[in-house]
Amino acid sequence: MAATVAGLEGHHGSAHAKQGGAWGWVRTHILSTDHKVIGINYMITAFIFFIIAGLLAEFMRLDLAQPGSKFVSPDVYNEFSTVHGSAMIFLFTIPMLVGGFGNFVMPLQIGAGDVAFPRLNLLSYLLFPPAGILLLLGFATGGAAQAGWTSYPPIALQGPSGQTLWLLAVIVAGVSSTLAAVNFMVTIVNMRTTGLTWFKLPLFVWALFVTSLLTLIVTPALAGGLSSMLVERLIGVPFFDWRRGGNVLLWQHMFWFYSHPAVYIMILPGMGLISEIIPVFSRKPIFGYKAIAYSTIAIGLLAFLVWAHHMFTSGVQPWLEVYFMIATMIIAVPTGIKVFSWVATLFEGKLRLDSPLLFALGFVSVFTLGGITGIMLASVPVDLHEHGTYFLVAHLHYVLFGGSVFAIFAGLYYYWPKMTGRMLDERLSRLHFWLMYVSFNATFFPMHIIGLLGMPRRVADYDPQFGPWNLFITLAAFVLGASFLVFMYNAAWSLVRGERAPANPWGARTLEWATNSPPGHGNFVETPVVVHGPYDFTKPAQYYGPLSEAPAGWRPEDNSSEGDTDERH
Amino acid sequence: MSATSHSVETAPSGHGHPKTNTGFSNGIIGIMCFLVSEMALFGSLIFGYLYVRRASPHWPPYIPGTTTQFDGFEWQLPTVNTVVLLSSGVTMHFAYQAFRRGKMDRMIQLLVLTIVLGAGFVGGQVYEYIHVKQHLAFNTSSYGATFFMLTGLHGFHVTLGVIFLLTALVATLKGKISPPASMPLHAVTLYWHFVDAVWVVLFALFYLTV
Repeated sequence: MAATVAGLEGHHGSAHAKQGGAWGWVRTHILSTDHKVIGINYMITAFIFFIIAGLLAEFMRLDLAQPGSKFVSPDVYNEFSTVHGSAMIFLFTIPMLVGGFGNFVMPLQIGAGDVAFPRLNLLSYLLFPPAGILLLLGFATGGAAQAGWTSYPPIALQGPSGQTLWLLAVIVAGVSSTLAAVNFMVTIVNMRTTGLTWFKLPLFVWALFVTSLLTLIVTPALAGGLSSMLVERLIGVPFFDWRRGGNVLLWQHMFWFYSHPAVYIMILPGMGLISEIIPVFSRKPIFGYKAIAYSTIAIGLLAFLVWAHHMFTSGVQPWLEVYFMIATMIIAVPTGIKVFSWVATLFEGKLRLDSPLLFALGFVSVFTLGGITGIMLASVPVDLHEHGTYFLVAHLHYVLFGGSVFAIFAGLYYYWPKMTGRMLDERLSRLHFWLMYVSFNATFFPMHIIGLLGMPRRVADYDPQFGPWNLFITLAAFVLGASFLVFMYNAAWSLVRGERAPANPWGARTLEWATNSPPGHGNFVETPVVVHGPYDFTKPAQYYGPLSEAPAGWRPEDNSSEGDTDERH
Repeated sequence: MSATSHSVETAPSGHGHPKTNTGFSNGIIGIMCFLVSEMALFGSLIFGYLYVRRASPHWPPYIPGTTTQFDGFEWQLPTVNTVVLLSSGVTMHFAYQAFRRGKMDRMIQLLVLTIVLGAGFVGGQVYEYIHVKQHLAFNTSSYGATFFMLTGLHGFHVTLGVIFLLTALVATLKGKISPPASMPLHAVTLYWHFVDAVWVVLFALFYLTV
């Protein structure tokens, strides 16, 4: 596949462009099977859901600004909090990192012309907006889901029809991600270019590989739980109703067997992006390439073994609690290996503090704090006290906002020139970083304190003693929301007025920078050949001309098998 | 398994076989990944069955409002059905072997036999459902819920498999599939073996235990 790359035809899908008209536009920009167009469409769609879910969070903060639920009714508050959490996870973070960055970056990084199954890839994308619409539709049909993003029965078995729509939305989103995972697995396993052996893969590809493996196993497992709950809600099949031999804890097991690995689905690709950015902006080979790759695998394996640490307050047997506590704490080891490797890469590097590195440094600092509170919560006695409080909200946002969202923006600032062919305004980019970094910490750090003081989470009202803290948090949350306006203005300005981007503005060594910005249909004029590791700044960039004319010393390792032994008999 | 997934990209380029990193075609690795996800789907529901079974104070659970229990399934028909489905796995295996050796007549005979056995299994399951329903409905208790969910999902997969096999048969008769290699036929063979294997587990869970 990779051996037969078409010539560059300018911008994506120009073959269809000549059709013209509205249908022509739809075919080139929405129904294109080009992985880059699909990736960008994922990103745009996910960003729209990010704005919606973010506004819901701002409305919740407005309600919480003063004691006494004044802005919305408690039921509506529950709807906002449920849809905020579900949308941020299922409609923003996962589609953005896996569907967006995975699609756009991975085939370029492995020197392939596209993913293994381009039409299946389009189907994955086309399933994604309907999932979002189903989730939000509840607001229009008399009440969205109210049972929280975890949707525990028996509450989730009652409630308005929005709860059923929630189940359908997550099933559709799950089918979409499972199909994408199949596609990415096959692409990475089978379509790496000449010379690109496993331990020459960029670390983002490693991350996406493990992420896809996790998705492939845990997402269908969640589908089992979701469809059980769906048939229980619709026709009364008793999986979770104790009066007929069902069990409410069964849902929690089925849900967290997916949702704990989902945390890694949301963080591993982000860590992959950080591993791309830090060496480029430190001008040093990454410290501990193999250690980072193996720790990615280790996190992926351990992810299956720790789910019930979310259930310490639900009544798990004590001997199981001890096991899950220890297993959870062990995950800190591979995570720590990554953090130390990034810091060691930065150490004595020639740092260039451009916006991608700023966001990457922001990621490392706040994610580490979220990791530390994670170890605190993994401890059973601590968790019993803190599980129902804002301490958990703070931990979750340090990991998923401080981790995933900072990584997403690091990646957006890093790949913007490659995706659009334009540079962003660096001063505005840095302004966005500082606004976001300071207001993020101002919003979520105090939640640790009010959580330890005992403020319960998921409630629309609270004790008046927490009033001043909450007012401060609400104001900070508004600044945090406003910081994204800077990004949107910067993006719009760049698309119209931005300086044209060169092929490799950051001086990186990975293959996505060895082609035009943006790359044309088919990605590479000549199949690239890989000889050096991805972060080897002492060597020239990868050679990507015809193999027969390769200069001496450019002999790639053979990583392919001739023919299809499986089918040949 | 959808037709979109393996029509374009495995078209052989040049000398008949695409060059891939592993030597396997994309379609075969894709179908294996898909079957891993199917295993997880069945695995999650099997876990659910074992969990409610272990957590319930009585098994089978009392019928609500009474202290009577469903007294287990009869094993005769499901045992016959198991033999039918496992035989279809054997005929499918030899059908694919015959195809690879180019013995098309033999392949078509075995394929038809596989389809008949598969359809026979589905028919047996429908009869079994009508019979079981008199004692245990899907909403009687978690026993009925897990039984109908798991065997229903499996029956759905067998039905889909029969449709795939029929499609393969039509394609073969029209000469659209020719030996020695066909990725879609290989994929359907793997899928059929998977569906067989799942049934063995379900049979053991529901019929070989009380």
